[in-house]
Amino acid sequence: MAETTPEKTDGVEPETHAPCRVACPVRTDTRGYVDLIARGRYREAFEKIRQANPFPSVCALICHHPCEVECRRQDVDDPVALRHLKRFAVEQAREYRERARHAAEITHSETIGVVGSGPAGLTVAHDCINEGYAVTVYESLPRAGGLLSCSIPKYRLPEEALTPDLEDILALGVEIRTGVTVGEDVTLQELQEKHEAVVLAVGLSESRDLPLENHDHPDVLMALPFLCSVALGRPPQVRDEVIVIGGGNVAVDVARTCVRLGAGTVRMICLENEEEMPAWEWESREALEEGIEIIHRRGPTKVLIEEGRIVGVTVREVERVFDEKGRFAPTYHDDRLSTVAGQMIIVAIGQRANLDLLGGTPVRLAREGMLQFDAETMTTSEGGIFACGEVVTGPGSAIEAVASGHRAARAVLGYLRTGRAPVVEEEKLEAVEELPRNIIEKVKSIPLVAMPTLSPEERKRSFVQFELGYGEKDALAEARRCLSCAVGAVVDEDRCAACLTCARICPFEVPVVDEVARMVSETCQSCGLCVAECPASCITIKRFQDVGEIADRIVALLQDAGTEVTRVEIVCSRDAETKEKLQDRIVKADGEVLARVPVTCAALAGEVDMMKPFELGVKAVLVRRCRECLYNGASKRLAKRVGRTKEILDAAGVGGERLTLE
Amino acid sequence: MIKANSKPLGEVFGFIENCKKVLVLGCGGCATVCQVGGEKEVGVLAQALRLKAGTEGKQIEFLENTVTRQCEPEFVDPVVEGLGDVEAIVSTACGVGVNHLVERGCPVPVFPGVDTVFMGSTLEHGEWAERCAACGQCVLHLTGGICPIARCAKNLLNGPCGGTTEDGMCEISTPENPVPCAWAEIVERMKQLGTLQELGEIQPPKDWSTARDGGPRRRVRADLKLDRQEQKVQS
Repeated sequence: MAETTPEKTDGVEPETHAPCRVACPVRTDTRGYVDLIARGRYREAFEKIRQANPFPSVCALICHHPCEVECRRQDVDDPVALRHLKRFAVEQAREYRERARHAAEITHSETIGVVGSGPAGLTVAHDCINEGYAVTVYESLPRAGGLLSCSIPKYRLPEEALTPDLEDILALGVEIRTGVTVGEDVTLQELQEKHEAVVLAVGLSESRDLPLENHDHPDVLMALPFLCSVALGRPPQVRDEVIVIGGGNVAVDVARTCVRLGAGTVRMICLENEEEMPAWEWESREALEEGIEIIHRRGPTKVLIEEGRIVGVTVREVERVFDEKGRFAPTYHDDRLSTVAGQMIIVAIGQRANLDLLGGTPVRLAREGMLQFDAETMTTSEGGIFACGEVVTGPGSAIEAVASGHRAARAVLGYLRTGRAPVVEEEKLEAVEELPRNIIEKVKSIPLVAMPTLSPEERKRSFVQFELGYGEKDALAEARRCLSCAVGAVVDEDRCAACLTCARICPFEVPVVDEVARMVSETCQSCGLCVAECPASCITIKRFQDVGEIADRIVALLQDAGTEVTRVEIVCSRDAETKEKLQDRIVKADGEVLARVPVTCAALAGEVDMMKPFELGVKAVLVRRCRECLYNGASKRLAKRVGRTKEILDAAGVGGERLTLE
Repeated sequence: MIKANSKPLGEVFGFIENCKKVLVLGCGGCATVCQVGGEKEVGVLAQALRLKAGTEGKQIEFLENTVTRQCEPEFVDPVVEGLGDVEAIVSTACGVGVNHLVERGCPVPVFPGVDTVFMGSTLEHGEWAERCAACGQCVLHLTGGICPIARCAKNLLNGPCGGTTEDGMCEISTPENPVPCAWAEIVERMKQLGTLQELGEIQPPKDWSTARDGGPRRRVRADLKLDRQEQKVQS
């Protein structure tokens, strides 16, 4: 099951959460995995992603990333490129992932049947088998993955990205029976007899038709069958000029696929204007880059045919798309007609479910061919038959389907344990407040690391994935842009003397001191300067709780060195370009043996951290700052601390000159 | 609050150089606030002493602890009772803490890690100044809230001596230790308050018996005192 409880770290439970996490339908600890990437711990980052989402590889490429929409960095410059970082973590963990695959232990006699192998259905399977229940998934298509494998074009989701997610789930022991259509090859009643619980996760597998005049011409295609035939390696011959009707993401997928299949001109016709268009902004932008024309605010009325061939469609001008209440209710200027030329038309105006499998069963339908469904218990009208995914939520994203699958799994597991479908509570997480204006002004801007992509000219020619992925240097730089929301300073109030030191030295004016210091989580940037300066040593940074004290790390490193270390270097890790440079390590250079301890800011180094190595026989200590500190005043405070420590080293007979600051 | 300075490392080391095990004991009160003897400074001093012991060729173990306040029996008694084979304590509290540890029956020597300097306030982060001399008979109502006992080098009660410079500084003032003339400040303050004429009243000689001159002082609030049966802490 997805671990969606707030992270608990050494008894400190954050009251508020990073907005990226709250925005994620499966509550991925986004900030957590970005922080792990920034520290070079890629495998752990991957595990954190997978903890909430059995489709890490898929989502790394196609997620609509609501996390980025909520990222507080956008108030400073641009949101952190979270999806690209996810992809980096997934790519880094490839071999580890293969090695770590294992079968789940089946501990229960009850079994579960799942209809549909898309993200919702396979999430149910994943969660339930991990709880010890055998699961069989029935898929009518010849391959697993549902629309992920049969409708999302390969340039967005190549097979090698989908495969690892499917392999993980198969390795658990989930049986996926492809090419089996429930309602034809096996009936729903038979599934009910075979399994103690059945989950309908059939998705929206059919395209909605548009009953235009002449729409039955063989060169009028439906979006999903078109995309599916391309995915299965049987692409239809596209004409020179193709018209795609629709303005959603599927329409964009169809248009861009046509470009790659060799269409000379592709024109999309949609009712909406640029802002109203339902496709994601970046999808339509990429389509435009590839030369696709988007004709806004036109509605087709008729397929034009001359000598048996399509020559275009007649369109009329749209008066409005939505009514006063914001409902979809287009009206037209019937007298403002024009013609859009094209020899082939592909209709991409929406999807609907194929619920033929319910014929002759007691499972009831509601309005417009939708399932009768109780969203609180994820149940249909028939006991023991559950539903999830787009068939009940309507069109959505892959990650929303995964979230729905998690909920259905919880319902099924509760049902199998108690005989009654429980109410699956919606988890409420509170997001940290927006960044206040005065903090936005103090946070230094760091440019977004652009994702390298193929040029539009190159990508138009093939189905190769057009985003090329971050290299390690890029990923580390981008991960460091994270503001680490809601994991900043915490005060041990029992020890706080309200001395005001933290309030006086904080670069962001975060602490509020009355009876004791309080750290305001929406403003703290977790630089840690207060930790090094607090005379009561009563401040910790939640983010660093698993890292340990610098002095302890030095001691551990020297103990494990196996040789005499001549110099200890406490180094700001902000300039590190490889994960090796982010790890505590022994380095041999120029006849010297160095112990290097990277820290997220050199100003975290306290007097004791700088003195401890001398007690252990080290000849010299170097504290190295980064090229450009993010925190105002931190470098100056560090310099003063180093100066004081030098005086103490002189007084102790060690010699202050053996400590240097770079 | 009470302010103090760290003692020179060599002096502190001299106190304990022949011990095998020493406890560096901090105070979470004034000593923490003036950045001389809280948990952080206990760590710094203990580490400095370890280095000094190393360079002096001595084998000394240094333990670290910080209590909420060293001037309260309830906070120090557990320390005194749990010393084990500790041979000496270096206290980074003010002098009160050292005295109090001894008073509470500390079986080993207690040495000061700091020099207690005054009662004062914070001028800015890292700078403090004396503001009260605990004379036992406050005159601040007569002097516009500026203390001539704590802030005048001569404790004058009836105006300045002849040593005030033109810019209002005391004659003992140096660039390193600038000392404003308390009486110059009093006059300016009372002008501002419109009460300057009050300074025309001559103050009689001060009774210093309530100050240190009268000997060690003790304060008793009979209404607060607990009966012997009520007492949880043995005096």
